[in-house]
Amino acid sequence: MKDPLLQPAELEPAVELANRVLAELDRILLGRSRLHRLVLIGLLSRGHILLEGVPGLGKTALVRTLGRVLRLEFRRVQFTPDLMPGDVLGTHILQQTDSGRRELVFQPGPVFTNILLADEINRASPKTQSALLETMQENSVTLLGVTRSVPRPFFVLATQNPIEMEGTYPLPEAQLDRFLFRVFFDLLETDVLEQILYERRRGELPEPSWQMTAGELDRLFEVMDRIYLPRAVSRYIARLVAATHPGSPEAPESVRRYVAHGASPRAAIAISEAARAHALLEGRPSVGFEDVRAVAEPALNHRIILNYQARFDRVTTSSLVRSVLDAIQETELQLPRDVELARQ
Amino acid sequence: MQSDHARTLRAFHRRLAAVYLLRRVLFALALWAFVWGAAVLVLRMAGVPRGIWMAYGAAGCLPVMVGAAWWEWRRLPSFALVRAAYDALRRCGGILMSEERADMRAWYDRLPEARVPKLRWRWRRAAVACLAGWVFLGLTYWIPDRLVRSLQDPRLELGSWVAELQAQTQALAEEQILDAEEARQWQEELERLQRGASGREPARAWEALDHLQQANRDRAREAAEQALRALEELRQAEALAGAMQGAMESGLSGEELASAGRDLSGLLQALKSTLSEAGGPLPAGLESGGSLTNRADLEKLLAVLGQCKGGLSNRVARLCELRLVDSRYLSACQGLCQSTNVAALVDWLCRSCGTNQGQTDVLAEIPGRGGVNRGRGDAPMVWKEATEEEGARFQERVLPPGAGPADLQRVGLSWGAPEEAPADLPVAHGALSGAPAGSGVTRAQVVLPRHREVVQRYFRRDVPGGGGPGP
Repeated sequence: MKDPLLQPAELEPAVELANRVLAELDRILLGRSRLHRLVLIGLLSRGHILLEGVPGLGKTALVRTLGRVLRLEFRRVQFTPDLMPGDVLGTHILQQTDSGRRELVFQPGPVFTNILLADEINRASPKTQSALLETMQENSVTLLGVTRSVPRPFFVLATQNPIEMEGTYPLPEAQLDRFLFRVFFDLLETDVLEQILYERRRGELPEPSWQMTAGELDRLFEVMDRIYLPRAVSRYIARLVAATHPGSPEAPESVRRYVAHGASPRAAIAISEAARAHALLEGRPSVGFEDVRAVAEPALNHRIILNYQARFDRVTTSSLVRSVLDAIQETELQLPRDVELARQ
Repeated sequence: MQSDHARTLRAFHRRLAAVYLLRRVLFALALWAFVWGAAVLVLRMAGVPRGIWMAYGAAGCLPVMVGAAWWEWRRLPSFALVRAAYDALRRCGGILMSEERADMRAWYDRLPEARVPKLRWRWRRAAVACLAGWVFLGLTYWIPDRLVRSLQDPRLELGSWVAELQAQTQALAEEQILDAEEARQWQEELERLQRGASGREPARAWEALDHLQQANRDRAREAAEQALRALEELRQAEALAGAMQGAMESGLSGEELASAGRDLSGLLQALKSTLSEAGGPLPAGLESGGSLTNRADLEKLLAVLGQCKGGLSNRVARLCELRLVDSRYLSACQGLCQSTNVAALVDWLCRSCGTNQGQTDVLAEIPGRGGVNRGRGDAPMVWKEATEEEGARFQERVLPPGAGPADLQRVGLSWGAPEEAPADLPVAHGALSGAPAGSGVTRAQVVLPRHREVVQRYFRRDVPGGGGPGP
């Protein structure tokens, strides 16, 4: 990174812009402030997000509202067992031209959009799921030897229904690793639900009062690229990811007991990018340890593979990530046993 | 970084370094005190007297402190690490850490208030360790010599025993009972025993001393018995020579005493080696095995025999004085040194010469001390040179000093005096529980629960046919 670090005057407009997006999302979708923050962090990090929750919690509404606020194209694909890769990526259609010649013309699929909502992605066959792999990683689609880029920016927001597992195909680890975050949709609180019922007829969402203009999202991305990741924080992220492996010397006892495979290096990259976005939302030009701690759980909880003992003991990946965060000190300042630093 | 945070960060770094250094110095001093104290204790127990060397411990404190501080200084956390810790503690969001890349002064007004993080050092542990070390060192300095000696390996004082054995060995060597080389080896063994004798294992030293003493006594007893045999033969020869001298004074010629002279010559030939060791040279006639017929040779022979007897009796007396042989050997020696009834023997020689009376008959007529070959049983006892009891007194002799309290040696240690159990103390012996002590049971009998019913039925004597050990 050779660009100079951000000055307050450069960062403040971007922070204001991002906070305005968050405020608009919070105004339209009630009671989901933390979720909106994570989704925006994911978008700023150019990552894909896996939303997990029961039906009717507003997953589609979130994605639709995000697209409208960011003024991005939005498409939704309902994944079913008979969905074919061509239904997602697009297909070639034999068409007759004006000159009477017939040729195969590529008909783009719904993946050619800015925001793709892959609804209930685990209901499609692995063949169709893997069709998204290249697009999610490379931002391009290759069909019949021709590679076509998807529009920039490109985000995949996939949803999973955790309660209906019959007839589903769990996402393979390789595809899970391509999601930046896995975010859980919790039930709304009673007060929020009451507010929705009182203020909104049939739950219809209000129109956005503000929309991002063209180029503002690119400016946000430019600022994101200039957020500085200090070496000590990089070291902390690396130690965190290493500690998710049972063979690591810093791994806590819970990891040694319950984890079969730890997080990949892609997880470390995801944490660092997400921490940058979090620092941007916090209005800081550099990443701090608290940014890493804020994004570590959603970035790691789908990348750690547990063993059978964890299933027997009903241990979740979230609890394991929390234990890793508790066990790993932010710095490698090894204080003697009789010396301690008081947190203020 | 010219701001409050920069100053605070430097202050935090200094404080951290100070705590690290002070802590290491305290532990190093404690360790030094323990090590030097142990060295002082070992040296004092080894017998090194108090001296200027004890001050080296205090002089070594400064190098120890400098060394510990230097060693800790090299291991101090880097400034970048301390800055990262400060950033994390003060929630600076990585802005201070970004100083590694660029000047971040423009962001300082967004940072929280600058304050040096509280560093809690539980210094009591280090202080107590240091204090304990110096207390230990002080104790090793001021502990009394008497207590140090009690901690030493108790030496077994064998001086009197070894001196006595050395004197015995030297006497045996002087009396030519022991070879000079053997005596030297025994002396060296005694010195080695005296040097290596330990109070923790006194039995070994005492066993070795007993072995040497027994060897000395065996040699001395053999020598004393040999001396007694020689004295017996000397006494016979002396008696015969004296008788021949008396017979010559009575007028018998040398031709008439030729038979007795031959007997005397035979005796002297048997005693030749003894006489040459203990006495002087024999008369010239005897050297060639000839017979003694003149008075001068007999006088010379008597002088040699007396000198030889004196030498042998002195040897036995010396062995007895050194307590190597019993006093009965000395008594026997004195008995053998007494003169024989020479007058009777002269009378016998005068009567037997020129007669054909058998020797046995003649001998039977000689009054003497009785016995088969020394006269008739009713022969009167002749006492000569009787001891005058008047004015006699025991010989004064200074006894060696006995063992006093200072010479007592501790051979063991018990934790307390044994307690005498009362006679009616009941003992628990399983089925015989409650029986008085001394019931003949040598060890406790444990009755298992599954056997208890059978045992109770066996001892239930009031039930007819219930068995039991008695009627």
